[in-house]
Amino acid sequence: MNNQIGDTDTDTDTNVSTDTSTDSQLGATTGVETSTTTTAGESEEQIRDEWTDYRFDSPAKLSVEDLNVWYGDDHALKDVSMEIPEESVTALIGPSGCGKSTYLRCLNRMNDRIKAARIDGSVELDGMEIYDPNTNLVELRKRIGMVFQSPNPFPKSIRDNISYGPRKHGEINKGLLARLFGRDDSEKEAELVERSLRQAALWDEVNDRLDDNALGLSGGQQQRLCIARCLAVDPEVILMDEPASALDPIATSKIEDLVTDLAEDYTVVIVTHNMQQAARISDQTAVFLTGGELVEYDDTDKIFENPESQRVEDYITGKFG
Amino acid sequence: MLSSVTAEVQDAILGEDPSEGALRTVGLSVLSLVASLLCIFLAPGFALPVLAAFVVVTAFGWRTHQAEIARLLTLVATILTVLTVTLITVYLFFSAFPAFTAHGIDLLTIPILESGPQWFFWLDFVLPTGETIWNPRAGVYSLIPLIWATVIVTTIAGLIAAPLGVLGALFIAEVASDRLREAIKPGVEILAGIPSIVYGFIGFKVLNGFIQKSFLDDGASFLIAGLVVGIMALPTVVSVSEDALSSVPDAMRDGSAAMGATSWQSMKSISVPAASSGISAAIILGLGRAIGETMAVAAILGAVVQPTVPLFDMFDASSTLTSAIAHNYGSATESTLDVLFVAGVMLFVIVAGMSVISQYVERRINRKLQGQQ
Ligand SMILES: Nc1ncnc2c1ncn2[C@@H]1O[C@H](COP(=O)(O)OP(=O)(O)OP(=O)(O)O)[C@@H](O)[C@H]1O
Ligand SMILES: [Mg+2]
Repeated sequence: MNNQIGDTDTDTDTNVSTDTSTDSQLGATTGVETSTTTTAGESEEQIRDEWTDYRFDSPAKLSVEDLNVWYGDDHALKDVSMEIPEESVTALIGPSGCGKSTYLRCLNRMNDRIKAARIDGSVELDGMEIYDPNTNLVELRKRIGMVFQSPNPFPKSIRDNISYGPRKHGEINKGLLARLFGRDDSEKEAELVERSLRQAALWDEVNDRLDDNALGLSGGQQQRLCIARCLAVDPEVILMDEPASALDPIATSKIEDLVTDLAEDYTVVIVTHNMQQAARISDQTAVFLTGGELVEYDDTDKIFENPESQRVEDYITGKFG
Repeated sequence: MLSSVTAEVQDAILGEDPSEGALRTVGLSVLSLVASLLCIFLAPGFALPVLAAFVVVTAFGWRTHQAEIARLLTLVATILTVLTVTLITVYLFFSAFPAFTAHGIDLLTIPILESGPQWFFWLDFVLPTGETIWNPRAGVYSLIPLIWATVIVTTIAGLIAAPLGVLGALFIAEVASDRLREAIKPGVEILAGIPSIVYGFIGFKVLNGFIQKSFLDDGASFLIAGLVVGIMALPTVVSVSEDALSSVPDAMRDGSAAMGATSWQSMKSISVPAASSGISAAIILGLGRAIGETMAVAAILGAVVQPTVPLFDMFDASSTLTSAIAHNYGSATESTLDVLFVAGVMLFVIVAGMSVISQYVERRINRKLQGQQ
């Protein structure tokens, strides 16, 4: 399907150092359910199923079952199962290289774009299997949007950045033909641009220069533009990979407010390295630890105040990671 | 002015406050080099020994003051290059000057056909017209047929090289698998390096024969020359555009894919626009190659200089600016040589102009892509 070439993961550099440790552990790791992988500073313990067995009342938006990912021989994600509730914020935390980005990319099949990646397991969106061979990737990625770690606006005007998705999906026609047949959607586009930018709390800063190039915006504005761009296709789920990692505290807090607001209508899954951020904005938190295992998954308050796992407690209190 | 330049050069080579030894070494090296250059012009017999002295001094300096000598050598290399090119340019213009004064505007004489002066973009209102356009014995030279032949051949070549080259680059950069790309990319670069006479010969033998057989044309036409030159420029266009396309950050393609765009949509709306400055540079570079191409064109089009009738006839043939030089410089009379230098000046101006345009386009597009801060 995708013939894109090359490593498409922008985080890979940062993970290089953890690569070797994961490799060396592979030999030692045999069982999957009762793994004992550790890094220096981690105490040994067995992962119990009930730690990740988070129950909630609303229907699950996404449900992941026995998800495994290999990069070549590197087993990056091990038997992850979790259900993500609708209209909430789910935070994914864990030390660098534990597979958070990998997991996130599995949810909208962006891992398909990485040649070396092999994925096994099941992910269901509203009960529909997304790894079904007949899945329409365009449709899927329309429903599950993604915001990347470093802002990646297109080298186009702010307006064109926002209308890119809808235009590609044929919802906005501004071509010559459309104009000839009097079906020019400029008005619809203007509306969409304004709504998306307002939702992303960027409208006031850019409304007088929508035709300027998006690359001329500041990093924080670019990231909010990427969020707006993602909202413009009206997804149901929004995946965010450390969206604030390159931003200053003020821009970060704007994004955090935004995420909290978004959770009223959307299902947000967000990777973060910042524990306070996870505690502030998320409803439930999943902790991944070295070796690509999901160790604990529960209400955010529970995870931060009274985790079951000793390793999670150590990680949260900053003993390692 | 001059003193400030010397001071700056001295600073660049020797640093802020040079040691006594460094000053002496570099000074000696410069002195011997200047002396040997002077000898070449004034007393060629002494040039070799003085040059040897320069080499020895520099070699010793290399051991004691390597940094300073290295900086000096880079400066010398730059000066020599710039000087050589400048002198060649000056010489070219100088040599063309007699023809300019002797013939003036007559060098652009528009041919008169049976039906009157040939239509040439209404230029016959400003340019002279004449019965004969190229007759060295009578001292009549018009460069119009040469210029027009160059335009036709370059246009055909561009129409071949630009679309095929860009599409090929897209295939290599965006569609082909890693394995395939690793095989194709070096292959294309090798093609770019094949000597042009090989292409010219193949074009002459294979294409000419084919056209003669299939179209009952007498062959040796602009079409064939344009085809061959276009194919020659193709690898350059492919390889430079491919570089431009693969330098578009993957993050942008990922962003596009994550919006639910298909890979063709990403290619069309993200990769190509983002690489457009490099792609246009590639096309202009390819056209520059096509204009300057000599051997292949000379082999195919032959030595005739004649007006193209009708003007857009691709099956006609005439020498181009380059092939006229190649055909005639060996056997030409003094006055013909001067005219050939004018052709050289024209080529120089055209190619220099294209390179300026390409840089302008590239800068403009880059500014547009990076936003106006
Ligand atoms: N494109 C890739 N090719 C090969 N290996 C990869 C690739 N991307 C990730 N990995 C490996 O998978 C493991 C998990 O990487 P991942 O990027 O998911 O970690 P992460 O939890 O997001 O880390 P960080 O917090 O530093 O972003 C690492 O060992 C990494 O080396
Ligand atoms: Mg990551």
